[in-house]
Amino acid sequence: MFLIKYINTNGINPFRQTSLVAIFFVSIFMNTSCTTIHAYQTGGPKGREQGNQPGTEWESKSTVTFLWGAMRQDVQIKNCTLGDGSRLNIEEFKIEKNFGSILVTIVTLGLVEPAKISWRCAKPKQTNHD
Amino acid sequence: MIRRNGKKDWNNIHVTVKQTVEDLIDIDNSNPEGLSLSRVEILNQASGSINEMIKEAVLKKKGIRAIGSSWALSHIQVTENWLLNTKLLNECFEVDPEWFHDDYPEDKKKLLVIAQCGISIGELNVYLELPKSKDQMRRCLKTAGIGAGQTIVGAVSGNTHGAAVNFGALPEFVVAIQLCNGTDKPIWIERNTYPVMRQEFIDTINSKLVMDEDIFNSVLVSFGAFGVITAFAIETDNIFHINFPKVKEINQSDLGSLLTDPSYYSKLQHLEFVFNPYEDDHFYLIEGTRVAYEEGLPDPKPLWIITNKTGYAVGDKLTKFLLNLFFISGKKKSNILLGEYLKNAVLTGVRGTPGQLYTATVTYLEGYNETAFAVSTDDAIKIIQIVKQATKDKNLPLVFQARIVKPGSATFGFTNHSPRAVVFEFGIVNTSKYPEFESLLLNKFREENIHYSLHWSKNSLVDSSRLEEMYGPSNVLIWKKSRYALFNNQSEIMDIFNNEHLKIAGLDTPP
Repeated sequence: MFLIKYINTNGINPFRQTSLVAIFFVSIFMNTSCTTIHAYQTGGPKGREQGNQPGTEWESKSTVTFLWGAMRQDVQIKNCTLGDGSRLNIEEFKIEKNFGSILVTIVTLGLVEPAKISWRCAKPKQTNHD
Repeated sequence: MIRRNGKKDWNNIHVTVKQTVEDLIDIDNSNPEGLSLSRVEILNQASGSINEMIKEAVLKKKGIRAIGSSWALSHIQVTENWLLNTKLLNECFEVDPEWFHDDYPEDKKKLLVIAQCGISIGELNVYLELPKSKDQMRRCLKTAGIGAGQTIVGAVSGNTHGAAVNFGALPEFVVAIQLCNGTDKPIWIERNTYPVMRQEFIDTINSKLVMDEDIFNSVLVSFGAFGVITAFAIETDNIFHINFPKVKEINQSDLGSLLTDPSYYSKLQHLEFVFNPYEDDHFYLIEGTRVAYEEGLPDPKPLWIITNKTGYAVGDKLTKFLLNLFFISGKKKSNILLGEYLKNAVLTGVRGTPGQLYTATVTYLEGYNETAFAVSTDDAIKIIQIVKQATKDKNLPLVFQARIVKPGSATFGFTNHSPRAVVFEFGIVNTSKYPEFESLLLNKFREENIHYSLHWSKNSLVDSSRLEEMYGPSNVLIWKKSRYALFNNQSEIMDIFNNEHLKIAGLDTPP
């Protein structure tokens, strides 16, 4: 959007426009170097948006799926508990693929698909101390 | 209970600080027997465990710091050794009438709560504004910044400023501090001029009472250098609404008149302005007035939500990439940034409680950094001219936002400019241009003889010369003396809290 807005408002010729777009996408590929998908909780009590409220720092694990999903490697989350073992919710997680993992997926035609899964646990529910 | 997670790669929320820590430690309010604990037991378990952990760190000579929500963009809260996650200590308590000191004002008793260090501003807002018991009154924080994800202790320790033009920054509502610093037992600190709790209560929570104005004011904004703050007693307010009419567009001359007119700003709760340095004489004025709370009004649309209705948002690193595109001018980028800012980050035509209005948390934009600095309202127009010229000279993509805040009492309170502080903030791509630009601005301020101070959590560097410029030798001395007093001059304990930030600022040395 940013680039298109710029190109449109500056009346750049078609050849230069194509070059700019090509440079733009190559640069994105080189600079961002990975894709990240975020999943997180939203909402809050009585409709009040609480945004992101994690209770822990990021924890992560690399995982690989083989044969187009025929064989999977699960991620078992063990740290979303309090010291006494009681469980916490998961506040958010993200799936990251870097240049290397995307390349492996392409070269193996999806036979091997690596990814990095990261998560943060939610905060414990507050107790009522009347 | 404590859980040691061992060696971990760690970064702050905005990914401006990345490092490996020797041990990332979680602490929570559970106990081995799985029993429900009383308020006092919860406070004692947390402070007792943390104080013992600090003693262990002293024996093993390990640096230790609490991280709160990791919102600081600067490296004030970090250590390479033991990083303590306090976010799971998120309880808030009412205070029994018999726990108060005899001199504590009667009308404030129902407004005081004890908040554990890890409770976030968002959680605290819910606790105060949406009580679970019908007997409990609705209350709210006296001031807040736009963010709701910081922990209360992290926000105060880094001097989060908010925009309460006639109250002050977040440290102003703290009236007592429970601190663990590895000495004999936890310390309960109050001002000698403002007693809050009875000795019996302080004995119950196994703490030692220290009543000292200088120590209290020094600990308020101390970014973890005095130890781990485990709880605050905070004064809240009866719930109110803030009404924000539509943003006004004004020129510089009118802005200058308003900022120096107490009869204007004394009527406001929140005062802020935004400008694009490439626009000649154009400012966006955001005014919030305190009005009575009214039931049943709709929740305002939350700010800083960059994900659209179908779930799409810009990628984590795309903003940095776009802002670095060399073939688009700083002016063009700033125009687009301003448009996005006005669309997503400004309170306009809304009314709500502080907890409904100030809700921003995380936008998942990496590679972005921020500087915030404060000056007196008397110097605001001169500053505007300086930052506009510097931004144009460097062809940077920037939007400035400024909030007006009453000065406070913290020794290192960066908002301590009279008659009011104007806190200028700008986000900038996290490259070598960031410290260069900050340095350029500070040099210009010096040339113009303008007194400034940098936000503790948003700066590229506070070294000893900048520190003395900002607070003067006498305040630096008070802060250092207070630190030595609270640690009983035991330098081996202080050493474990001396992180890189403290050393660069020269705050690790004796007074």
